[in-house]
Order: sequence, then structure tokens, then C-alpha cells
Amino acid sequence: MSNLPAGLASGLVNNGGPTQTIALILTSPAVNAIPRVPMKYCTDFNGNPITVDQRGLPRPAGLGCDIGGYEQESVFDSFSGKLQLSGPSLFAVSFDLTATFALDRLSNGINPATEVVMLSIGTYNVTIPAGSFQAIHGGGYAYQGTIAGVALQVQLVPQSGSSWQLKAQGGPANFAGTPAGKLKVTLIIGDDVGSTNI
Amino acid sequence: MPLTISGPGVSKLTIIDNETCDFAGGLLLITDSTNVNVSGLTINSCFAVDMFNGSANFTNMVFNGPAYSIAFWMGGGNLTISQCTFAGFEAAIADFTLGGTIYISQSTFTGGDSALLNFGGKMNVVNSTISGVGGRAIDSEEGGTLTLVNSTVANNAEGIYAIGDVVKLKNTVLSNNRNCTGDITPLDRWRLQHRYRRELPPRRDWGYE
Repeated sequence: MSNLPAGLASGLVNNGGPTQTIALILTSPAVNAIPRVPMKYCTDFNGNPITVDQRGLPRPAGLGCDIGGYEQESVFDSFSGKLQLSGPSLFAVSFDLTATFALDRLSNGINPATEVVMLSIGTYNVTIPAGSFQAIHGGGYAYQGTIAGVALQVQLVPQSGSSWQLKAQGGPANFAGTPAGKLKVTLIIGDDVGSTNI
Repeated sequence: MPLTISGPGVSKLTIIDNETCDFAGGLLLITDSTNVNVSGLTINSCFAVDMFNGSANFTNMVFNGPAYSIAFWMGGGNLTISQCTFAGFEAAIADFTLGGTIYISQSTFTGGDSALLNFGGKMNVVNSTISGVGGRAIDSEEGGTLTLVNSTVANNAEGIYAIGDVVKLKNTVLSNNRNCTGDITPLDRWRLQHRYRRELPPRRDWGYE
């Protein structure tokens, strides 16, 4: 038991996943506080491993399990791109996103073929289940399908070093409630995450 | 006979029960030893589910309640809650089973007066968050068992209050709950029953009668 300040981010927000959560700040003592070995530490009281966090993202991420409902991921070193939106209303928006991102230097890498991929643009967010992406000729991974009525085409292609390119097209998506101005775009792949305003 | 209700999604279907909380019964009443599965919708109601028997699974749902409301009134049976959001309830889940089992995972409780009342049951909470509750986040009494694993209980008026129970916490954050050592009196318990306007299941020992 520790009496250290927990290092929680401010309040309940959408951090991905089906329910709102309270994130941990990077310097929180709760991050990686539970060692991976012996495995009995990252378990419930019956000894069953806790392999995901509240959002459904992999646990542990990094050197150990985090304390609490939220597992801190590796944050992209960089994330930028361009976004085009079109459509008759905020309830039926087609989007075309092209972005590049670089994984954190301590990241253990991403594997879109086996990891959950979450993408949010403004108030629209989608979770693409693990195993949905297919390897494509020439390198990279692609997903094509319809989730919650939105037709999606998503590509993740490795670039040089730890950089990747993201291409995501889809519609009609519900952007109702999205504030004016630059939109917040968040990409989560397994335990790696990045956000940017485009 | 098993019952399955699969909604199109929490943002696409909302069931609104406009009855006042003084007189409302549960929108869904489970009395038989059957299996009930409900998913993918939002319920705005004083009392969403009254459960006295069987087993029930609620997945990917949103429950909203006004003052003096209880989403789940448990008098018996086994309940599983997964990927659900509860907001604004007097008590989101009230377990008076004296032995029933409730398993909660990947769910969030916020607002209202209390998230979980566990009077004698076995309540297991995993990968969940309780935040912004105006009273006790969790009230566990009457010899029940409460376990929390990899959960966050933060920013509530009070944290976990337990008396006479087995409480186990593992890898769980308790933070910024302004009063974690609250007390309870017979008056509190009478007020609890009175405010809910409900007749509680027979009890072995209420203490105040």
C-alpha cells in the first residue's frame, strides 16, 4: 500500500474503449508499479491474469502492470497529418485521413494484425478488433469493412525507423458534437497511442 | 426460458421510463431461474432492473438515473455487468441478496449518491472506475465480500465504506475521496430504506428494528 499521490489525469474522459476512464500521468507511481514477474502479481484474486485494462487495451504495457483501471501506453514521439471532411451534415461525414507517426523509443513495436486498433476523430471513434488487419503486399497492414454503419478502409504501412504511415477513409460517420476548429485525432494500436490536432 | 435483447448501440436506442421514482417498478423484472442477456442500448429509468433469481448479463449499456433511483435492485440471483456506464443514481447497483454474486468489469460509475451497495453479497469489481459520486462510492455491509482488482476509485465524496465485510483490494487506486472513514448509524440505514420507497427483502438482522 502506498500513500503517494496517485498521479491521475484530470477526471473521467474518453480515452478509448467503451467507457470513460481516468488516465494516469506519465510520472504517476502507479505506472509499471506491478512487476511482470512473478506473474501472480498481475492477476485477480483467483490467480487469473489481468490481460487488458478497462478500455480493453493490453495489460501489462511496458515494464509492468499499472495500478488502477487504466494502463498507460507508450506515447508516439510524433504524430501529424492532414484530414479532409465532407458530407451533408455532421451526422453523415466522410473522412479522409493521412498521417505519419513515430513510436516511442521504448515501445516494443506494433503488430496491427494481432492488436486492437482504435481511431477517434473529433467525436467519432471506432474500435477495430484484434485480428482484423491483413498483411498487404509490399509491407504493411490493411483493414476494410463496416463497423457500426461506417464503411472503413484503414492502412498502416511502416516507414523508415520507427515511423509508420496511417491512411484512413470512411463514412458516413457521426461527428455531432465535434467542436469547431482543429479536430483531435487519436490513434491507439495495442499499447501504443498518440494524439494530435489536425 | 432464456431472454436475449440485443440493441443496436447505446447511442442508437434509448428506453426512457418517465414514471416517478416513488412508484416505479423495475423496467425489467427477473423472478425466474432463467438466463437473461441484454446489450447495446441506453436505459433512462428510476429502476432499470429488479432481480430476484436466475442469472443476467448486461453488456455495453448506459444507465442514467435521476435522484432516488437504483439501476439494479438485487434480491437474488447472479449478475454480470460488463462495459457499462452508470450515471446519476442514488445507488447504481444495490445488492441485498445475502449471498448472490455480482461481477462487474470494464464499467464506469459516476455522479449520483452511491455507486455500489453490497449488503451481504459477493461483489467483484475488475477494471472499473468509480468517480464523481456525491456520497459513498461503495457501501459494503452485512457480512458480504467485496473485491476490487485493477480499479480506480477517485474523486468521490467518500470512498469505500465497509462494516462487517471482507474487503480485498488488489492493484487498485484510491485517490482524492474526501472522506474514506465515514460512519453509519441505524438512522442512516432507515433513511436508506425510506428514501428508496421500496420494501427490502427479509433480513436476518437489521439491527435497528
